Amino acid sequence: MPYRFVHAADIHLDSPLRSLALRDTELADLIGNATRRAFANLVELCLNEQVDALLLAGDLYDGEQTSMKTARFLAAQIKRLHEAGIHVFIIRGNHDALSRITKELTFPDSVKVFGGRADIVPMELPGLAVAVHGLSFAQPKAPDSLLPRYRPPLPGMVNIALMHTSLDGAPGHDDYAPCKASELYVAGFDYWALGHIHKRSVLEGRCKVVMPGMPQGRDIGESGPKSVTLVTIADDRSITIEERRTNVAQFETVPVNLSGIEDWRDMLDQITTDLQRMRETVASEHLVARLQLMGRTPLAWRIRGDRDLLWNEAVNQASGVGKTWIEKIDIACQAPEVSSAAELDPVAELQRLIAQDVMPSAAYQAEIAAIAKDLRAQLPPECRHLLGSDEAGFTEALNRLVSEGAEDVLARLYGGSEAN
Amino acid sequence: MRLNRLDLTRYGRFTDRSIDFGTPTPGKPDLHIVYGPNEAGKSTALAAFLDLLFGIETRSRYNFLHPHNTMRVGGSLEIGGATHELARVKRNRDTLLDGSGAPIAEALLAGQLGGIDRDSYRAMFSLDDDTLEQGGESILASKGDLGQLLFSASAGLADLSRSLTSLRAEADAIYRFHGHGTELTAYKRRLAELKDERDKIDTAASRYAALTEARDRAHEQYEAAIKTRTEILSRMDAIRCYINALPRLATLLSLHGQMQPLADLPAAPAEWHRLLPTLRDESITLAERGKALHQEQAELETTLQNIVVDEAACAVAGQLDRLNDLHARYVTADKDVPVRKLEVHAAETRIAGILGRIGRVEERDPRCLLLDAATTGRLQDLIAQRSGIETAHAAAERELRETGERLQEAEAALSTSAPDAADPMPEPPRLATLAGVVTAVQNSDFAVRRRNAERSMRTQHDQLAERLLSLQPWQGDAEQLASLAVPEDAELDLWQAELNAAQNQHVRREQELEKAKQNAARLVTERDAIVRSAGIATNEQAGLIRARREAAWAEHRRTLDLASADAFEAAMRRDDIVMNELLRHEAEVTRLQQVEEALARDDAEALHAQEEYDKAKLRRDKIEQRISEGSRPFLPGATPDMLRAWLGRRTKALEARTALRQSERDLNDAVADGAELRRQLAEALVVAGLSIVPEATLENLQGVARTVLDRQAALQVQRDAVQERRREQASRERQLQLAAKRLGDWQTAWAAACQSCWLREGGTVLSVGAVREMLAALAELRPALEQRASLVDRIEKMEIDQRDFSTEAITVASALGWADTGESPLVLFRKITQRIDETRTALTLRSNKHRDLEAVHTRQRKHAEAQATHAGRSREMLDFFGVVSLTEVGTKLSDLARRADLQEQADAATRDILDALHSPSIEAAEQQLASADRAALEAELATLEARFTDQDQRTHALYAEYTKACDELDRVGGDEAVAHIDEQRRTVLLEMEDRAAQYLRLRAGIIAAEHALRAYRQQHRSAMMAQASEAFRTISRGAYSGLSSQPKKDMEDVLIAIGADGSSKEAVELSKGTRFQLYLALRYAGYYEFARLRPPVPFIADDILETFDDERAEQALRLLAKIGEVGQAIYLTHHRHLCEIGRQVCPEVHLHRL
Repeated sequence: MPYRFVHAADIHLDSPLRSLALRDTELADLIGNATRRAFANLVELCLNEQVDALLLAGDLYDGEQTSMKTARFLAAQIKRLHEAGIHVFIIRGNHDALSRITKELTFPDSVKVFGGRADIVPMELPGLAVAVHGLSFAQPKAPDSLLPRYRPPLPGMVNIALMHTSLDGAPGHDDYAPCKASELYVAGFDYWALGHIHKRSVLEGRCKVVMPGMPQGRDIGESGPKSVTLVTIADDRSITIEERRTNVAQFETVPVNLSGIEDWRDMLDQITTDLQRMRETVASEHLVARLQLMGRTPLAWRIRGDRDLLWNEAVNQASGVGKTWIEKIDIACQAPEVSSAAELDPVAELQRLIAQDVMPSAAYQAEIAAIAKDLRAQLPPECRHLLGSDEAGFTEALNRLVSEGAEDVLARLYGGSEAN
Repeated sequence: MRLNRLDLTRYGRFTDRSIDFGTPTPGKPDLHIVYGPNEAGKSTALAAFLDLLFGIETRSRYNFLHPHNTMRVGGSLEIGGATHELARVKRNRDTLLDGSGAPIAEALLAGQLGGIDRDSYRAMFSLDDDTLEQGGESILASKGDLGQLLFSASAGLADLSRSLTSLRAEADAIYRFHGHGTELTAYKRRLAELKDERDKIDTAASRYAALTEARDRAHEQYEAAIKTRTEILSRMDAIRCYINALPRLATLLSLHGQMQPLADLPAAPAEWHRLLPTLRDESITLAERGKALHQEQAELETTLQNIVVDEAACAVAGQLDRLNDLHARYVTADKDVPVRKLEVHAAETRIAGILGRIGRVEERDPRCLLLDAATTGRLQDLIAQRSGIETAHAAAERELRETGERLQEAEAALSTSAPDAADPMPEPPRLATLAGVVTAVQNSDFAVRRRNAERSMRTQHDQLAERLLSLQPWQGDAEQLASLAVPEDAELDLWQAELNAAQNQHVRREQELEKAKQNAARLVTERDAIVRSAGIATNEQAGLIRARREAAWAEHRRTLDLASADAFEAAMRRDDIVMNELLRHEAEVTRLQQVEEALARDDAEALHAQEEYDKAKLRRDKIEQRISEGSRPFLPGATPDMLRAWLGRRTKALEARTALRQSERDLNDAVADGAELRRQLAEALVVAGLSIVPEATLENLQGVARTVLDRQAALQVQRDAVQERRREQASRERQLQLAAKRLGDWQTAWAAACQSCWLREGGTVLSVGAVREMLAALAELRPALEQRASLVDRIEKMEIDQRDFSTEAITVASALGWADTGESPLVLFRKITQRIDETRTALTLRSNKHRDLEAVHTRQRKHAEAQATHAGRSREMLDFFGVVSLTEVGTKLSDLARRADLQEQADAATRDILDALHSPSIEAAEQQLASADRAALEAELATLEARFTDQDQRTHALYAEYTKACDELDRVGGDEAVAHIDEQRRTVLLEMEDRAAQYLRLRAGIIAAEHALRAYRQQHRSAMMAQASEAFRTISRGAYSGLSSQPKKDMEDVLIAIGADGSSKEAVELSKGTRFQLYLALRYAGYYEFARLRPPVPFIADDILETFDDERAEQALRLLAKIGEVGQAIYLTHHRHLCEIGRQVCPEVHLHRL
């Protein structure tokens, strides 16, 4: 009798979406609480597929998540699984290692929450024996590999292990149970149910090492399709892996090349075309797009000068595409190279003065830094990273804002008036 | 850019009006003064110019004559060294048109304007009073930021300062230090609101844990409180039971006392209580009913004794029925007998009549005259047969006679037509053969076939002749035609195909040849043209000249004398000239060479084409030759088409010949068939013995044969008729004999029948009619006799009945004791009936009374039984209680009832006590109660009640606490409200970040722009300032020596006008006129700056010198003239004297009148 389970990780239940697109209350209603909806979809998938178990490989919640409503929601979903006879195996990751809300919940017997010491749940099915291994983060950080702490695989059984790990992503900076995929591959387990990295990756072969990604991305940094993994272990111990989409909304960066486009209307058409192209590739119900305007175009000044108009029109175009929303417009396009004859152009000269004389000057830098620090002091702690987390980051962020600001202001002074 | 001409095609009050600014004279100022009085349309022209450059304004007010959709301005503009005819119309797009009216891109103008828009152009280079002043205001508003001012002027960005101000305002709206109402504070407020909202509905895990604990604790305490409360309650219940039981015990004891006297009464059956009143009522009813029955019995017995019965009458009563019957018959007979006797008499009269009719009046017993049925039947049969037999006999006689007559007629006819020796008839068998041949002749169609064939032959003969004729020039008959050797179709097709191919090739070659010839002609023409136009030598000529030079050189070398040198020089020069010519006209020469080469190629091609053409022609001719030879015998010089047509006609002619031959064969066949038939017919006629003429035709022979055959047929018919008549006569004779025999038989039978009865008594045989009449009379006689006999019989029977009645009446009367007094039987009968009826009445009465008496006896018996039962029951009760009357029994039963009632009350009291004390028995209970102290109990109860109230309240409170904790936990719910708020909060934070970044961008950008503008000023101030300063000095005619900038607070510079005396004034302090001069000076400097960087644009001013005196106006015009040195300056005025001044200042000025 085959053993089937769904493997998911990094649910980050009730963790809010981070997108300016949600300023649109209509969209906020449509895709708000998407992590919750994705989790409900996941549970629905388990029920529909009539799997034997659900494996959650860490980061069920965010650390700051303290609302019992979240826990109650989770309890209700787990109750559905319990009633359907589906086991749930949970390990804690870096984000929910210390989460209080799980402690306040009493789970039914069908739920196994692994603790800070490795544990095994063996199961005898007709014709197939399965053992589920697990080990939770006891603290938000785990500087060393957890692999040595796992108990050895049980002989004669199909060994499935849950682990929350950053793998060998960024050595030296990784406090999340780093270990090499190759080590996992030869550790003697049949299936590694991993979590932590929000992008899906699968290593197949004699052993399967699966990072399922998260079921729902929360910002542009978590773009792309998001999914969970449906696993079937056949009687002959062969393992089949299927990816199942769960995201309610998908974040995508949409580059729009405006090279050679001179007309505002044509630019909007280009945006629509690129959005449509992206929309066709996105299976999720909603597409939340970040437009990245690039290329050399005479419209560059006007685009900067008329950000508001551009925003409104882009939103309209997106709405025309259907189930598509704009979360931000990055303007990286430039005006065409000025001809040598126009080098004497006062605006060009002003631009040159700003770039060459003003911006590098220490006085200017100091003035802007003071303004930025003053502003930063006024922002709530959550927004402070806007200006970097350290001095280097601060300078970098500020330089970026300064150069954008100069472009914008020039555009408003010059491009704006030209566009009238 | 220069405006060469402005066309006011349809604009304002103008229609097809142009102002031509001509072309500039190099090195002279391009200054124009356009004079026009008020309302002449100067402002209109100014607006038209701007509209031409920037498009007609959406709500242009120059549509009062020409509506918007027809408005048009145009002009000739010099742009980048080229002249462009342009026009501007008013519509949604493509408003700029070129000289041909086709839309042209705006970029043409925009490129020249360097990004200046309409407003900027108006502010800087297209001035009127308003814009001059507004520009001035703008300068003042810039608060002396000369860098900005100059920048604005040179970049054409008049409102730079305003833009920067609005950007600053935008940044301030996002955030200001300690500022209120900024976006950031609004966001912070929103965050606080969201936090409040969230705190209101959310339950944190810690709070949840506390709630859980509170709930559990409350639950525990509540359970304990409930327990205590229950204990108090049960003790209170116990005390209340004691207190309640005490009075019940007293009641019980009292009841026991009341029951004591009644204890000895025996327990009577329960139903007695109900039965006793019934018994009492019964005893009275029974006594009354016994008395009544006795009285009834006595009365009935008396009645019976008084009834008397007639015994004699009783004895004869049985005979009365018979007597009644006889009486009825007697009465009937009495009425009927006389009637019947009259009917007997009538019957006898009828019988006498019948006898008279048959002549036997004297007959004593008419009955013996009646004939039996057999005789009557036989006679009637014979009468019926008689007429048929006689009729048949008469008919047979008549028919025999008629048949004889017809036989004679037939024999006479035969004898007249029979053949005789003079006219013999052949033998019928021979005639049969003849008949067969005649039929064959009739059925044959040879005559029709012969006619048809003859007709066809005529037609076909004509057709053949006609078709032969169509074959001319060939001549001959059909046979010759058939034997003619002609080409096959396939051969013909082959010829045709070859000829076609040859023909096609021939034509193509011909075209090619023609083309080659034309080409050659063209090339020759071209060569000649080149030679002619360039006047050069052809290569041949050049070669010739070179050869001559070489020859001269050779000669010179040889001789080395002056003459040869001269000759060589001449030849060389000639050659040089030619070579030079060739070089000079290198292109033409090259072309010429090409042409010549082409010519050479073409010649070759032409030659080749000619050869091919000749070959094709030869091939075609050969084929035609072959065809001509093939058709010479019959159609000399034919083409394949002609040949094909001729052969078609030949086939038709041959077809006609074949048809003619067929018709000839048909005719011969038909004639032969006719001859054969005639031979056969002649032979048959001879055989039949008829002589024939040898030259007789078939038709003659057919006539002879048909006559003989017809005659033979008629004779045979007559013979058959005689035979038939004879057979008929014999038959009729046989029929007559048969009829006579049957008549004789009948007469014999008739005599025999009459013989057998009294009819023959007279000795003669009666005729059929007599017998028929007699039989009719006899038929009436039988019923008459029978009727009479019946009547006589009935009369006799009635008379017997009457006698019987009398006898019976007398007999009964004697039995009743009456002597025979000869009274009529009817009277006697009445008396008898009356007496018997009386006796019967008395008998009935007696019987009724007996029955009544019997009923009384039965009721008496039942009554006695009831009395016995009643006595038994009464006795039982009396004996039970030992009393004598039922009244006493009643008393006893009342006592018993009371005792039962008391017992019931005692039982209830006992139950109450036992229930209250939960005691096993009343005795135990009594003991418990005996020891109870009521006062103590009541005191304890009061205490307990107070404690209970407290405990009860505590329980409620604890329960409320518990449920509250439960509710609160339930309320937590799994909904997404908090998550939703978190998401909103996250979005607000993102917006804050976004706006904060925007703030920083704006601030950084603004500050950078400000710094840059300062740097720009540093770099450009001197040049522009010098221009402006110089212009201002000029225009103020030295009243001011120039302009300067001085630093003021905030590190900004202020524009200072320096007076001739060295004094300085800020711009704002200048008089209006001077200020206007300053503005104009700044425009002038700006124009120079602009023109330095870009192609100049027309500078147009509309009467801006209003506030200037003549001298200053003169200087102003001088400035305009200087502008005209750089670009184009146009001044519109309605002051005629300004034209004069202009001419003085600048003699080259162009004056125009509007």
